Amino acid sequence: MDNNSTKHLTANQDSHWPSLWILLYGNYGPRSPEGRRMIIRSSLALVAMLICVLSSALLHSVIPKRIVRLILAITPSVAFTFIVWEFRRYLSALDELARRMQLEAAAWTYLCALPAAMLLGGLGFVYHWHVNWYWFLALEPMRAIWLYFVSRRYQ
Amino acid sequence: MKNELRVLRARHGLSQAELAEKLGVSRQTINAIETGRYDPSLPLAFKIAALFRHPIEEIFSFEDGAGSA
Repeated sequence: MDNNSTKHLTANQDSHWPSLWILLYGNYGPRSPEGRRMIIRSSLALVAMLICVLSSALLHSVIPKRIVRLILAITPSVAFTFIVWEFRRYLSALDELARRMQLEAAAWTYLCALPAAMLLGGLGFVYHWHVNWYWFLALEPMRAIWLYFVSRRYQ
Repeated sequence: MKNELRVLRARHGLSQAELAEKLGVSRQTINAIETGRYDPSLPLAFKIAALFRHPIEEIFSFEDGAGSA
């Protein structure tokens, strides 16, 4: 084997998955066009949601109350429907290993969330706690953490 | 599974990034295959075989728990 071949054998041994992006956004970062699109569009959806919610709350004296309530109730769902749609597009653009890792992370998140939900449900039932549904969002950082651990296995 | 991907890639003077681009996968995927941490799907294995013009069984071989190929 010549020197050139040896160089190619050892040149790219540090092919790591981008941990920072995985932990921050639950994806592989903006280096690929689909990753960039996912990050930009998801961020825009979140900003639009915040603007919509804040402005409707601030303008409650101008806008009829039931309209404000409707906006507050529906806007997060619309934003997250868009984000999920974008995530689906992102998944379909990934290569087989990257997609497998995302799906593995989602599966582990679901499997962890199931007993956690049962515990919260049980405690809520017994002690009459009201658990806010927005806590469901905690699954996203959990998914990112699982993706991080799954990515360690494949490098 | 054992594979000869790293040797073949070196023989063809390709970097991981170049091979990844030719196969339409990420550099990390090539690295995971080479280090034996990931077994590629059949379509990807056939793509690799076609790219290097080698029979698939010469590139990939099954290795059971005892370590025999």
